[in-house]
Amino acid sequence: MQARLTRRVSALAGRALAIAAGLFVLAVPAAAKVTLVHWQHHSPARKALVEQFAQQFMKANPNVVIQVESIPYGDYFKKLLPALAAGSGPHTFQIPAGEVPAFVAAGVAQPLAASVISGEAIESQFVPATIAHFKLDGQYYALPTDVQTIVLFRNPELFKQAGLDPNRPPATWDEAVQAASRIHRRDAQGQTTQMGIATGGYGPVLHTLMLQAGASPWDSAAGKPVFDSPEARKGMQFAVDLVARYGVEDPKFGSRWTAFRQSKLGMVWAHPAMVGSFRATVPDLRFETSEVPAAAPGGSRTSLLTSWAYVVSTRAKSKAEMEAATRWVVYLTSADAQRRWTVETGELPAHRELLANPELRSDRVLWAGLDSLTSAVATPWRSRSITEELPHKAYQMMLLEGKTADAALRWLQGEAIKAELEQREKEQM
Amino acid sequence: MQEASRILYRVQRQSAPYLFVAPAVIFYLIVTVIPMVMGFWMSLHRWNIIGRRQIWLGLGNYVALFHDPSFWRSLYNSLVYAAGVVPAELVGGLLVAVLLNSGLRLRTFYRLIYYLPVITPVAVAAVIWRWIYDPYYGIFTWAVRTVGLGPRDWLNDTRTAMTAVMIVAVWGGIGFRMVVFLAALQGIPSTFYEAARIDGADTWQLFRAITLPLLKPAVLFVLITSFISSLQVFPLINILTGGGPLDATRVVVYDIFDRAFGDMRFGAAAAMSFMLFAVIMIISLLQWRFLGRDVTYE
Repeated sequence: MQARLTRRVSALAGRALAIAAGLFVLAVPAAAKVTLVHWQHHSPARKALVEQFAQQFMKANPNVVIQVESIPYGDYFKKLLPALAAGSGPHTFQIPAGEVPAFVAAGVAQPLAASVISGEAIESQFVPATIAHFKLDGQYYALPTDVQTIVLFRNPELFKQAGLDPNRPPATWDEAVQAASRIHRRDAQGQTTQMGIATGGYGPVLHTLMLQAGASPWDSAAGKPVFDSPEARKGMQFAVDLVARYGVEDPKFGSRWTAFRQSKLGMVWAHPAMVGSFRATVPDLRFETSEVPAAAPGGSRTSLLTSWAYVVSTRAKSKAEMEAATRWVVYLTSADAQRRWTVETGELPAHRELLANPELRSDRVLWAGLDSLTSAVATPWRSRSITEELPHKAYQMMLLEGKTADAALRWLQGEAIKAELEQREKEQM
Repeated sequence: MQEASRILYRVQRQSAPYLFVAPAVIFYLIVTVIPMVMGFWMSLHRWNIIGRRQIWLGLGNYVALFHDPSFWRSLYNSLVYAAGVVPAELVGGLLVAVLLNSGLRLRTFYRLIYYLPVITPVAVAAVIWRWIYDPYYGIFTWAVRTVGLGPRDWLNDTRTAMTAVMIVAVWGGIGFRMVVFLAALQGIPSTFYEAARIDGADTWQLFRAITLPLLKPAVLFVLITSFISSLQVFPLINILTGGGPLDATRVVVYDIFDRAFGDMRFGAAAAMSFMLFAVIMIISLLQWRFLGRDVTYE
């Protein structure tokens, strides 16, 4: 009896020891592993690429686990803000470049680990306009991604059908209207069956047209946006005229992206990122890109440059987490990664060395985006609504309510100043 | 000993009901009362959800709302929406319920058909309706063209966008009101109708003198709940129009959402929520005061 009890006790003690040893073995590598949650807004091409990057990064950094979450744009901030407030947000995430100071002021973004990348290295590697908002109190808080300008996409088949040279993109606004008039088709009832050209009233496109007309949208001395100028009115009026005067854009025709994908739209002003989107969704679609047409012969081909930022959140607390998170952000924005971003998604590089990259420059559709970078104007304001929502509303005021360009742009200027002030207030909190 | 057990028994008897309701009360406190109190506290600050410090404004957010044309515009839009949707849902639901309560053949099938929009997710319904409203190829456009109207971008025209959204809301809301009215109609004893018929009453007189008065509790319920849900509309607007064009469909809840998650002005958004709460409470009390006086539930 005694012996049996002793045997049972020894067996139990043996099992306990084995379990403890097993737990110890498991616990040691677990403690050394760093898990990083990465959030970004969704596009099919971008999601696939970031997941590939994560796999490669984890292979090269076996102690780091990257969990990528791709969130639809409509839900992105709705999820991001409460998660950051609750302390359960991601370790690394993306935000529009102008928002970086507000997120830093709020204490949810932290400086990139200097042991991984120095300020000098950042300044020597990236195009200055793309990192303009990232340096605060002498430290860098973000690295650039999703750099976008505006280029003109065209469908060469529709050009050919309209008797136009498919290899000759319009160089001026007048040429664009003439080409669009020949492409635009209507049925017997006057309904559009094929559209000539489209801006969609999209904010960055409207800004681009205003810039090309010679507008200076920022008063550096006063530090506020300016839209109430004859040049800005000319740019906005041209966008409205495409619909109301020339009849070469028809908002009733539906989504311009669907129309372009279905070869029912001749030309569209768009971000170069649409290259990746078109290639991913309609692989057989033939399209070309060119720099945006100028307002007049020999005029400026400039466009608005917008970009996003990869940020390390304060959820990365330990030194190991901070360094791993910075390494991951550096990896995502490295020259090699950005080359792939450009090739596979059409997003433009922020790395200086890639601007002259022969592989990218020789690409049939990518070159226009790269060329546009040389003359693009980075958003001088920080409020997101000035880039997108407010100019679109001014455009709609003219188109739907018949307001004059004068009235619409006066309204735009007032609202833009208010929005920028509110954004600066956020940076004080 | 006996005395002690008697006291224990009495304590048990007295505390048992409180213990039984405690889980529900605690749950209600956590998910409703505490967030409400926190929301009110937030409304007294310039509150940035991710900010390090929140600035005390007292009633500043409320005062600012009184001078904010955007808030009044969205409140006006909400009231227009409710004024269009609530009567249509009420009359439509009642009409369908009365028809389905009569000796109609295939009435179970029709009940199912009318109830289907209620169980259709709003997002799915909104996407389908976007197709229906397509300016060139939508079935709605085709239907109005038969009466001589040209193609119009229904959801992107400041003159038609709100009406277009209201039609979708009524389509989705009639089914639920129908069920409430149907249940109330089936609770009216048939002997009332038989006695009235013997006295020579026709169908309209039966409806006016028996059905309508006995449906008053159901009408009051539908009226109050429809007003509340109409003033709280959000997903439908968000998907169909995004508050546009030019804020023509920007209702209060959409405005609250946009200020909070678009502009990160959570304090102002919280103040708007309490203003909306006050509006809903006032309208509900007025409805109760003027329509609920002679409602009995016996």
